[in-house]
Amino acid sequence: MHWQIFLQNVFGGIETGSLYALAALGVVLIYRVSDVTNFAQGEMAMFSTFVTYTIWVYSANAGFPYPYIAAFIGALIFSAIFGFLIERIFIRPTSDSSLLGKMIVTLGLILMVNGSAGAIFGTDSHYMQRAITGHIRFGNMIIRPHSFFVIGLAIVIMLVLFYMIKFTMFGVAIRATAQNDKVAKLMGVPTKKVTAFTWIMATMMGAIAGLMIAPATNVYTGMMADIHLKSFIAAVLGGFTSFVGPVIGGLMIGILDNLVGYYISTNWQTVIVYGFLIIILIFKPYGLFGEIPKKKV
Amino acid sequence: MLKLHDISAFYGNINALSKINLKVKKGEIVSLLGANGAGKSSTLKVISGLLEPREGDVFFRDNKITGMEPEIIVDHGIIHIPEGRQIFPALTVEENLKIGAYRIRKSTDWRDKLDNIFEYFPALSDRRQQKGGTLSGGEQQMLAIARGLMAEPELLMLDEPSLGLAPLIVKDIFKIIKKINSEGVTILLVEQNANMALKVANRAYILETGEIVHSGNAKDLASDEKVKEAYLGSTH
Ligand SMILES: Nc1ncnc2c1ncn2[C@@H]1O[C@H](COP(=O)(O)OP(=O)(O)OP(=O)(O)O)[C@@H](O)[C@H]1O
Ligand SMILES: [Mg+2]
Repeated sequence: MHWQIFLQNVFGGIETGSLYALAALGVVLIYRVSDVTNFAQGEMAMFSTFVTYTIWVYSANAGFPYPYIAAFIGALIFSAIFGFLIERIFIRPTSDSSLLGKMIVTLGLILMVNGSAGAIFGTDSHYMQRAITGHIRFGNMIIRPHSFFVIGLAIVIMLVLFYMIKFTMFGVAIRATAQNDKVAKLMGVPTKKVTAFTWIMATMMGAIAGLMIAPATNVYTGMMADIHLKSFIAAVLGGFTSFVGPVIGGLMIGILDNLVGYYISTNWQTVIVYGFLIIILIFKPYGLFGEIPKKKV
Repeated sequence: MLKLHDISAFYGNINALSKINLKVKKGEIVSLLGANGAGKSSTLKVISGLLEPREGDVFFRDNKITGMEPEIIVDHGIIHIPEGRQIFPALTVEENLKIGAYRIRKSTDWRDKLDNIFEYFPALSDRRQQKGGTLSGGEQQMLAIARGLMAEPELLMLDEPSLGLAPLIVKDIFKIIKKINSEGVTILLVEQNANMALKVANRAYILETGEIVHSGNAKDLASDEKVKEAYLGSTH
């Protein structure tokens, strides 16, 4: 039946859209706090996913009863350390350079992370298991429990993140640092720690997005190219100055992408999604939820 | 309580401070006066850690705090309210106050301090949920001071709190500064409004192109002919 196929596409769009949203939130979090556009977010997520995949394979071969859980926890731990190191080694030393300089740093990171992933893990493509295997049928609709897991996980992460940013002392410290880091320091906020923390958070969110998308893309060095691009579109569409914007943007892009792919053609998918972004930007130059940026004093 | 010993500071090649010596005793209000570009703000920046001096040392309660990170200096009990009332415009009044309490977050619930703060600044209490950026200039200055007080400072440094405000509000601000001091907070006050500043202060220092040219009792300075001529707009 027609509407069931439509619904299935919308549902699939929400699933990938929530991953775009997670990745986009990571990008926006870093951008707001350290004025860095992290173009390497996708490649860092790919690297984390390779590590996760390796843990999964090894723990399965070693007869560990819950290899997926081991891999999941491994992903969290590795990506936290990875984000911390990237910030410490590449971002902090260059924090006084120009905006363009900072961009070049993260563009350079793309090459470095991608190159090392190829050298360490090889260029083959690997199958990765879903968090929950199998599928359920509703009439003509096929729905995977994994999809519910992905959407549920994304919702939980976002709710925790929003709660933290809105209500906790550390969350106010993050927003204060984003607005004026000098004055935040004068209030006692350890702004370097805040920055490091946002890199850790963002890298973890990217790693989770990578792990969740891996069953659909396989694990290989180019696995994040599409989701990374779409997450940037989502962030721009929703607005870089808001935290809610990228989430809405991610969901919109996910759903639109799926519907266009099914009803029109997969060849036109990216063109139409980009076209949609351009049209929105004509009417809302700072994105749907973005505000005109206020100059830092 | 605070002691600056032979402080010299530079911005690149620009010599902002040369061999500054300055003392603030516990419980005092000390004013730091001088024309534009004299080095008043730079002195505060050196104390709060925003500007690392090239020479000399800063001591606070017998601890050497020279060159420490600003957030560590805050932990020692020094709060610097920078010039230009730099509140966080996109945070609400309450959130601005909350971040002020960052220093004491482990020992005190920031909400418990609000009543006390709103006693000083009743105008803010009706605007708790308003974004800082939407407040009037006077209210923003009040918020900047209130935010500093939330940290329970031992030494409060204010950089030109009266700048650009209407005379009535300026009077209010000076009253509040006196009240804060009477409750035990030591104050280092940077001002161009020398008349007012000498009235509230116990002692004062006068800076000229990075050097201290006069210092002493506020009353004596206020009646000193040379000071009068240069800073108090006197026509003698
Ligand atoms: N960020 C900076 N970069 C370069 N030079 C600076 C900087 N800040 C201050 N200066 C210079 O240092 C000197 C002292 O400046 P400072 O801001 O301390 O003066 P001030 O007494 O606070 O003046 P005002 O009353 O105008 O605020 C001035 O010559 C100024 O031009
Ligand atoms: Mg100044």
